[in-house]
Amino acid sequence: MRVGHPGVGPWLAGLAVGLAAGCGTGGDGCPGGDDGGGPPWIEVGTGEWRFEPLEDGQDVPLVFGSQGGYHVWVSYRTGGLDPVDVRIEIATEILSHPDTRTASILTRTLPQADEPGVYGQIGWPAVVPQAGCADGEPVEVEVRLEDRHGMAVRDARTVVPHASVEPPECHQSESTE
Amino acid sequence: MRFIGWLMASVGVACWLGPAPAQACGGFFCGQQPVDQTAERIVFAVGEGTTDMIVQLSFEGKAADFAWVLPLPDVPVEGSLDVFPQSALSALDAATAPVFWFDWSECDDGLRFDASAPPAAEGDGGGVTVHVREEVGPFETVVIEGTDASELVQWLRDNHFRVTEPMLPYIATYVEEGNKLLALRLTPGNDVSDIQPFRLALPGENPSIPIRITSVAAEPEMGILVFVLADRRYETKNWPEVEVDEADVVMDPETRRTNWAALVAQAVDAAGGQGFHTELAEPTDEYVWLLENSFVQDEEQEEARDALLPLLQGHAYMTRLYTRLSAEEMTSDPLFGRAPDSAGDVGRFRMIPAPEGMCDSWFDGGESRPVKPCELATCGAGGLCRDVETDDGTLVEACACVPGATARTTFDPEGRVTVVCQDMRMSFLNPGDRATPEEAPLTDPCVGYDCGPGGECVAMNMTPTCRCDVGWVARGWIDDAGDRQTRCAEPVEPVPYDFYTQRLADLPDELPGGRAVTVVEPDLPTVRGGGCAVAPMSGAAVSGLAWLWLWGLVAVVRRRRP
Repeated sequence: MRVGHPGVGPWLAGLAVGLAAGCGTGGDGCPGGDDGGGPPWIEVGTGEWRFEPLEDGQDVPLVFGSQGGYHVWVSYRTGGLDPVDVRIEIATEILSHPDTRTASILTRTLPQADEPGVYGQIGWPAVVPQAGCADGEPVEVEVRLEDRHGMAVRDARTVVPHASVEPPECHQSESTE
Repeated sequence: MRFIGWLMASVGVACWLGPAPAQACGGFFCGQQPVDQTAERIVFAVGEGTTDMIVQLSFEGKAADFAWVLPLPDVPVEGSLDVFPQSALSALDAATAPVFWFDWSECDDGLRFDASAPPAAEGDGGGVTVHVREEVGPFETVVIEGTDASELVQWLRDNHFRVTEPMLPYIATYVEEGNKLLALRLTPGNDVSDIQPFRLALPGENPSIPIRITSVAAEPEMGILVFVLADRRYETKNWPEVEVDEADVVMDPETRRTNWAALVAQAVDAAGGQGFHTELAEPTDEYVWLLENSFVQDEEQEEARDALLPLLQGHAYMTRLYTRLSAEEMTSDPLFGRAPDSAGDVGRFRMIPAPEGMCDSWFDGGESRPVKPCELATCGAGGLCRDVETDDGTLVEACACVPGATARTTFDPEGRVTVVCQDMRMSFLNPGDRATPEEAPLTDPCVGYDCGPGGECVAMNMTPTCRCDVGWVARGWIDDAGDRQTRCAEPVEPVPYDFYTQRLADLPDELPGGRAVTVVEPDLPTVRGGGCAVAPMSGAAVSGLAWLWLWGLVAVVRRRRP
């Protein structure tokens, strides 16, 4: 499923730090530009204000924004990409309901995480538009990144959101596939 | 420790900024630094599972014309609808606004500052459900729900809430997302002067501003000031945080005016038109202490203190975020959430460079370079500021606008008259429209309005604005009758050609603006020996005339409506 490096985390982050010493900034032939080098990788997690790793099937809050509808918090860590002007696509899809994939696409310079050579976002509100259909159901959370040199990575996790505030009724029919 | 630094810095500012009037006051209610007087102020107080929202309502016009519609994801917590003292919002703003002082360290004989120191549900027939209908302060309030935006809008119009047809797509967007609508209007007998901030509580701990609907009634370059009182620092989760380089801050030592608001606006524009700058992020304990120990001079200050104290006492941390947006930039709603630990605190005291020549002026009796009006102003994403000389020889700021934009006289963050370029598509109340079904069509405010020889009047939300010809810039003032006046004039410094090749961003399909506008490309000269600036008629007369007739008109094409 994952393009890039599945299951990476602190281990690979450490590797990226190590590689950074031998590979300079972008434009010098190092893949991925000025991130410090190393093969590109991404790890999708959750957390509003800190990165929390995710296991497939993990329960997560289905957050009721005061005026933002329902969302799940998506955080991710990445390395091996040029962090400047990265195209970011963050999507959710209720696996049991067709046509519920919703993606946010934006271009940002990724902030540095707490380790050298590691970048990412903490607490992106990934909107779940059919919240009533998502409550207690498997939802795929996917993050795709592409840097300005065309280097791309992707990671996805399946989570099970649970709403603390009762969401509206589900009006979508379940997939028969 | 930080509090001591705060007091010291305040003393320093008062000493070194010269002509500020002496006042025998101290504490929370004595903020003397300029604040954005025109900003919409919003306070979110985040509790356990609920968020209190306090919104300042600004309105100019007749009481009968006032209407306010706010999309809500849920019915407000029962009994939470209330009003809130304006004086409390104003005091909170003044007591937490950025404070600037000059860095004297570069002056040979200057004093040294320590840079590190401070820093009820009821069916109503049809498809409209009325959840709440009650009087709150001077307002009649309703919370309605439905699945058909047209029905909801019709219900509002039938009940004398002023909503026009161009607003429908904006309301429909929220209705399709499952939102309810809170609508306010003044009850009979109340006047515009009775309008107060409105307060309500909603479920959830991640507040958002329904900014998309704000675009139907937004002033260009509207300031939005958000306070989040919570357990820790908050940030915008889906909009970028924008940074402002303090080295770029210019402050007029005589008037204490700064270009801070303009810099924030430019930083937001550079980020694509959406973003917030964190002006302050600190624990609330020192502000609570200050509030508890401040001398209140009158009942108004007492009311403000009594309103603010429980808010601040109940929340450990305060974040103050500021942005300036124009209507066409309001295409998504910012959502706020807890910030990572790495975000840290942000103090309100900012060290800025001393202006050129100021060291000499202070110590040797020389004069510092005067600050020009355009150094302190911004014309918006579709504008370029140029100084214009008035009849009495003084300089004032004026704006050249890109094709598709028109210049509107408005007020800057300090309440001074200025001009900002405004996207012509973002007019939601136009000549011929009816505000409510029983009223006569609106008349054209441009009839008899004079933009001068280099301009043409364009009605924007029933206010006359001026679209100036290539090379001309618009300046504004308030006339003796209190009306906004705008005229096209010749700038002191010409406008470069390439400015007119810029275009406003496309609008999302679902938020099409208030009317269709066809932009005809200006026919600019491709070769211009010796320079790249556009001169108006009275500049290089022959070439200026040629450009004027070549200047393609921006045609405003009204949509046909049944």
